[in-house]
Amino acid sequence: MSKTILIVDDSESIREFLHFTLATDGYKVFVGTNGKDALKFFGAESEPIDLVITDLHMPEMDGIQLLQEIRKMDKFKHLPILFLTTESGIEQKMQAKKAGATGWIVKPITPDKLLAVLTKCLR
Amino acid sequence: MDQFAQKYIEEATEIIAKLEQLILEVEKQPQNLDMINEIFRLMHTLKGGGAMFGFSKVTDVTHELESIYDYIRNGKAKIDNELLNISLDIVDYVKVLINPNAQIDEHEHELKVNSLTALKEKFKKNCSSKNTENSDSNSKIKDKNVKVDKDKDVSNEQKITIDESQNNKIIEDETNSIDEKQNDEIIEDEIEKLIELNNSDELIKNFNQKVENKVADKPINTIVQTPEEIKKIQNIENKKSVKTYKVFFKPHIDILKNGTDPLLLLRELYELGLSKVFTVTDTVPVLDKLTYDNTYLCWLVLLVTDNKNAIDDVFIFVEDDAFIDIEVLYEGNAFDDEDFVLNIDKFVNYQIKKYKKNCVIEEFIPSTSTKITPESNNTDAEPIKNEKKVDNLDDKNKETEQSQNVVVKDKEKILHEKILELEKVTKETQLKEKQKEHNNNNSEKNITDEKIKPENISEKVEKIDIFDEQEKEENKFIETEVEKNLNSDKLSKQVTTISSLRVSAEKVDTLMNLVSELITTQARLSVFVESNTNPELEYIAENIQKLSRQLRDNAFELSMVPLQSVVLRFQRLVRDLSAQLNKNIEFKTEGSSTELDKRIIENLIDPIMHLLRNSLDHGIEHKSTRKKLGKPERASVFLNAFYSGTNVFIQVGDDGRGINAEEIKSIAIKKGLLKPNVEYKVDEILNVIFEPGFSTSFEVSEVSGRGVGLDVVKRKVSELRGEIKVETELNFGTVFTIKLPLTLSIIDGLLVLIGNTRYVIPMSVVHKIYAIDHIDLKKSHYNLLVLDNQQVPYYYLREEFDEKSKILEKEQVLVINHEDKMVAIIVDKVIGEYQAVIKTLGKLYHDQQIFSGATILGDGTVALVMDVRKIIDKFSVIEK
Repeated sequence: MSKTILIVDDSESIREFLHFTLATDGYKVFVGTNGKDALKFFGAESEPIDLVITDLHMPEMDGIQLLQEIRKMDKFKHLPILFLTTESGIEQKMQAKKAGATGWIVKPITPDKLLAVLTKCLR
Repeated sequence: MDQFAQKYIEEATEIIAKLEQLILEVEKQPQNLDMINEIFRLMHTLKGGGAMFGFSKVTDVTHELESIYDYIRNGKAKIDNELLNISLDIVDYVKVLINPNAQIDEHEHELKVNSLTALKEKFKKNCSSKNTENSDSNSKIKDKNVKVDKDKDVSNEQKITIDESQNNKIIEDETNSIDEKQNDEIIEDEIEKLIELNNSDELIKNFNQKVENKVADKPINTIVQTPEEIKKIQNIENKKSVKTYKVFFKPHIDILKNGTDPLLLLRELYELGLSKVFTVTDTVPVLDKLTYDNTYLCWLVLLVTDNKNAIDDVFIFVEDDAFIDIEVLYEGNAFDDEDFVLNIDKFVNYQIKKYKKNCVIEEFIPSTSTKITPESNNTDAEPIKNEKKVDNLDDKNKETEQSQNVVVKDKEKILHEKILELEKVTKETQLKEKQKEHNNNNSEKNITDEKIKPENISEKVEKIDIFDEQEKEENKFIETEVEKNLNSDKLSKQVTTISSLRVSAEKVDTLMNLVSELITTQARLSVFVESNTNPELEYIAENIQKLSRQLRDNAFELSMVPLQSVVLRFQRLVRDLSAQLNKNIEFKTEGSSTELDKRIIENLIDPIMHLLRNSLDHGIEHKSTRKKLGKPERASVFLNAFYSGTNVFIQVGDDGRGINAEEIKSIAIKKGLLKPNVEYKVDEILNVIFEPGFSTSFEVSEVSGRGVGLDVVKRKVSELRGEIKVETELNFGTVFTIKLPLTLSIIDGLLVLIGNTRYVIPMSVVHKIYAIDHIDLKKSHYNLLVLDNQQVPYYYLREEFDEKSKILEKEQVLVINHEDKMVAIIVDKVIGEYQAVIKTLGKLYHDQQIFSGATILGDGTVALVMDVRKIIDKFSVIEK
């Protein structure tokens, strides 16, 4: 069965890029525009998510908060959560790591590398 | 990828517009954290997308700005005018950057980025100086730490660390001679080791060269045992470009807590090719000091593979949490080399020793990589270091142990640095000097080791604790700030969030066209049903009528855009122009949520810009003049919009000098636009400024330039079936009012009959309808009718259209409100109200002066839509 990935980003272009890349590779993709929006995929009856890719700064609820919310749920204690970041954001990385992120994807990322990272995380 | 880049450009354009607006608004209310947060986020999005889709220059500039706004939103710095100017400048620059056709000067770009970086540094410094101010009450030691921490300059940092070490030394120097000796011995040992290591580096070099020079005669597979590995060897032999890599991996002590299992990483490495893994166990403390979830081990892996990227990939998530050093050791398979295999232990020992010097020493300080790569020895890693230091000091025992370690290790580190720095000074003299120093101090003080050490340690601990607290406080501050922002965000967001779709304008136009067609067809259906009395069909037709009306209204709404969407441009224009003209001008807008048809708005931008420019340039007086007149120095220019009936009014005005009607009159007379010796109303005189002839000549400057291009403005407005008029009062200001229909495509019309042809007259202009006898027309003089005791000029369209059919006894008079005057037009029959979907006439009919379009009636015939204003203009000219 194909894996389900949730993409959370407030930038439409990035959402579309990730969506396209992942969907082309056979992943099932859900999309959220910010943390709050993304949380709707974590309801009791919603389809299980296998991995989350999220941006850090978003309106309403940022990536870290989203992460904390997800980690609060027992079901998702070990859900891989990846952050999108730029190379320069070392502080951000550490912040994310401390909050319990699985890892990060450094922009720019080529589709190949993105898929490699995902394969790794989903193994 | 291109399609996404395209998307990014679209998105960025939108973001830029938002940014521009926000920056302008922040200028008015610099305390508004919501806005600053929003700016920060937008910059972040711009940056992220830029990095993703190859707009690296966008990323360069936005990154710096983002950081600056980060300081501001965290309350560490204040927003100022300079920053806003630069922000706007950068926003403009990003506009250029995302334009794929733009040529970008690399040099200029560099300058821009550099100036931004400088600005960022300025902000950084400001906020760090603020921090030190805050902590003034704390001890000096802490101050020093803050300095070490905050100072960005690497060399400075080193200097300060050295200073500190000297302090330490002095403290230590106060210990008794036995300890002294021990210390010195340690120092000597370290230096010896260092020398040895330096030499060993050379040894390795030599060795490597030797290995390289040697052609592998025959592989001696002393390492290979399992069939799996034999397979690997075969794999390697098949590949030509294999290299032997040396991978040193020292995970951060807390790596297990982050959920990373180093073993898995090693396994992955192992799977990449022929490999041998050496574990460094010296770093593991004795049992009672050992914390079970700390990672003390580090590994050296010798790996033969052809894929360097794969190695990088293994460490993709841990590169910041570990010290990783990947180096090509040997081109080819080093395990083929007999010499290498025999000496492998020696080699590994050298390597491990070398790494110990560089990083294992600081095993309790994470981000060891900062030591090795100078570029990354930046400020970002600095706070983390301290944080982690604190983390590790949970256990009291451990604290003591580590503090001791730190002291000794610091010393090693510093010594190492000194040796590197002071190449000229020989190690011996250095030692001698130290010994002297120590001896001198020794004679002065005589305190036992037991006494001074714990003190020293507690001091250290205190230092760290203070740090901890400060950091916590800072974090708390940031957290509460963030929370506050978020809370207020939520409130304001509920109002402002538009979960909108972006649809291309083209699609909306197509939709509108289709809806128009549907409405037309529906009208035909209604007509058809009326003649075929089938109750069932009637019911369906009615339903369709209802639905298509709703659909029309909805589609109509889609193409409506709030004036707000263009107001930003005006704001920017006013801001830039007032700076340019050195005038203090406030721009106010009211009713910017007023919605108008997209096409109307598009066509209105230029006229409004023009009016604003006129107001700013010529309407508003200079500061000094305003002062003399007793006017407030800050002039205001406004843009108001409001609905009235089926019309939208847009006003552009100022509180400037106004227009001098007398001057206009004299110029107009000179130009032949007005007749001399005729009494004109003020309105009539002012309307002259919209005349084409008025605008082009020298009078412009004399009459405060009011005439420039106003004829163009008027023409544009007329094309939109709108009207423009001007009101002015000398020294108090001028207001231009533009009256426009709500939409261009569907109008409420009045269907009338002239002869045998049906026409549509826009309902919005019809004031009253009268019925009069035809005979009354014949009796009238000078085309004037008396209606309700008022004389109204009339146009007999039947005559004007040259209709030859039979004249009716009763005529219908439509009184039309035209530019504040009453004008009557006479038609044969009024059929009734009609919702007309206006279609533009083809190019062939472009020059005609009577009709603004055509519409298809329910029975499929075409009715022309009259442009009443044009008709009146046309026929009144003929009359003259």
